[in-house]
Amino acid sequence: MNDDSMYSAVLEEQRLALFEYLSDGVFRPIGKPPAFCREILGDDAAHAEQIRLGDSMPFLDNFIADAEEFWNAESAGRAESGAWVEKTADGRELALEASAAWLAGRKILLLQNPQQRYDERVQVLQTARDSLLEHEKLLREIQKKEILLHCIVHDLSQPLTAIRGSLSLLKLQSMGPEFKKVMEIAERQAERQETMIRGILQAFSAELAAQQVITNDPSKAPDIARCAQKAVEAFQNAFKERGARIALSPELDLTRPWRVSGEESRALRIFGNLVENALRHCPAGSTVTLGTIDDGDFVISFVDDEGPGLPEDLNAARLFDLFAKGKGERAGKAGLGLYFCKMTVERWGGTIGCENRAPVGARFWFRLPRASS
Amino acid sequence: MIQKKVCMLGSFSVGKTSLVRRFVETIFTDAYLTTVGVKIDKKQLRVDDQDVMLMLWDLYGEDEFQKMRMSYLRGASGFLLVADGTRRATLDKALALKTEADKALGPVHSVIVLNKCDLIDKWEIDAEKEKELCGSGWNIVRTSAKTGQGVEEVFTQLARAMLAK
Repeated sequence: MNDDSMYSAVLEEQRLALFEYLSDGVFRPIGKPPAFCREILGDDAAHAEQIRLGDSMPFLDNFIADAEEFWNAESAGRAESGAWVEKTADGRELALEASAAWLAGRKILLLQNPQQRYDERVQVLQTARDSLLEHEKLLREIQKKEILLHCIVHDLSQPLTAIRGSLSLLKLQSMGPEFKKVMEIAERQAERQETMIRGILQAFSAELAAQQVITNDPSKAPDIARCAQKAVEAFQNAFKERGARIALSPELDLTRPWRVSGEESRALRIFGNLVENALRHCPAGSTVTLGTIDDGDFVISFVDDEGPGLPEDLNAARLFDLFAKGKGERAGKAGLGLYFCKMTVERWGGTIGCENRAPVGARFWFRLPRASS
Repeated sequence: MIQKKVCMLGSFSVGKTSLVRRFVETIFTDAYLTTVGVKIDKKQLRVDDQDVMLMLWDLYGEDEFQKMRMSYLRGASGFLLVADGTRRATLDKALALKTEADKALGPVHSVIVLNKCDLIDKWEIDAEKEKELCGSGWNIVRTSAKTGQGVEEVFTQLARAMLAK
C-alpha cells in the first residue's frame, strides 16, 4: 500500500474528510473523501476537484461564515461547528461535526462523522433529561400534596373558633373553682392548637412563596442590619418582662451597606423566629445580642444569647428540621420556627446554623449572599 | 422560490422536533427522544398565492447540558418560540431565549407556540398570562403535535409574517 492509499485508509477509518478552502464557499477535497461523504454529497460531487459544500448542507453553509472569520483572523486552535444531522439519499441519519483550522498555512475544513461518540452522547443526555423530567414531575406532585395538606390544616382551624367562642360564653356562667380550672385548661389547649395551626400554615405559605422571584436588585434588596435593628425594637418589651435585655451589637455599623438577596418581610420573620428562640432560653439579667458580619460576598447575621447553650448530645443541624423541637420545658411549641428560617435562607442561596459560645450561651446565625453578588 | 430560515427555540422536551415532524412528515410518536445536534428539514408552503420553502432548523433544547449557540440563528427570518403548556417554566425560557436572540441578531418575526394543548387538564399557563402576552403584542398559537391542532396554522402564520416584511 503506498502512502496515498494509506492516507485514504486512515481517513476512511477515522471517518474524517479534509477540504481546503479556496474562496467564496468553494473547497478542494484533500485525498479521497471517505464513504460517508459520498453518501451525503453523491459520488460525482465527492470526487469533484472543487465543491461548494454549503450548497448541499445548509448547516455547514452557516458554519462556513464562522470558519471564514476564524481563517481571516489567522487564529490558533480550531473553530468548532457543534454536531448536526444530515440525511443520506436512502434516508439514514448521519451525525456530523466540522471544524476549521490553519494547517501548514492553509485554510482547512475537517468534516467528521463521529457516529459512535454521538450515539453515546445521545444516550447520556437522554437519561439525564428523562431524569430531569421525572424530577420536575415529582416536584409538582409534592407541591400538590402540600397545597392539599395546607387546605386540610386550614379547615381544621375552623371549628376552633366556635370552640373558643363557646368556652368564653361558658366562662361567663357561675361555676365552681374546679370547673373553672378545667375551663381554663380547655381554653389554653384550644389557643395552643390555634397557634400550632397558624404556624403550620405560615410554614406552608412560606414554602409556596419561596418559589417566587426573590429580590436581588441592590436598590430593592433588604438591608439585613436594619432588619436586625427592627427586631431589637419589636422585642424590647418582651425581654423587659423577662427581666432580660435585647440589643444590637456595638460593633455593628448601620451606615455600611448590608443589602442581601431576599425579601424584607421574610427577613424580619427570620430574625423574629431566632429572637423568640433566644427569648425562651435567656435567663433573667442576661442580654441577647443581634449583629451582622462582613464575609466578602456574603453577610453573616447572628443572634447571641447568654443561656445554657446547646446540649452536647444535640445534633445541631436537626434543630432546623420540620417539627424538630429542642429539649426541656422551654422548647418551642411546634418545631416550625427554625424550619421556616432554614427553608427561607436556603431558598435565598444561604446557609444557617448554630453553635455554642464561650464562655456561655449559643449563637444562631445565617449567611446570605450580598444582593447582586 | 423564496426560501426562509425558521428556527425552533425552546427548552428541552417542549415538542420542537414533534412539531417539525408533524408539519413535514405528518407523523407523531409519544416517546420522548432528545435532540442532541441540529436537524434541518424543509417544507414548501403556499401562502397567499406565493410559494415559499421553509428551512426548519430544529435546535436542541437549551438546558444545563447544552447551551444554544447564537450563530445557529444567523440568517433566520422567523422563530417559533415553543413552550410546553404543562410546564410553566418553559414559557419563561422561550421568552428568555428570544431576548438573547434579539440582542445578538436584532428583532426577528416570532410566534409563541403553546404546545401539548391536548393535555389541557394539566395546563400550567393560565388564560391571564396568555392575555398579558397578547396584550404585549405577541402572537400566540396553541398547538398539539400529537393531534395536529394548530400546527399548520402556526407555520402558515409565521410564513405570512416573514413574507410581508
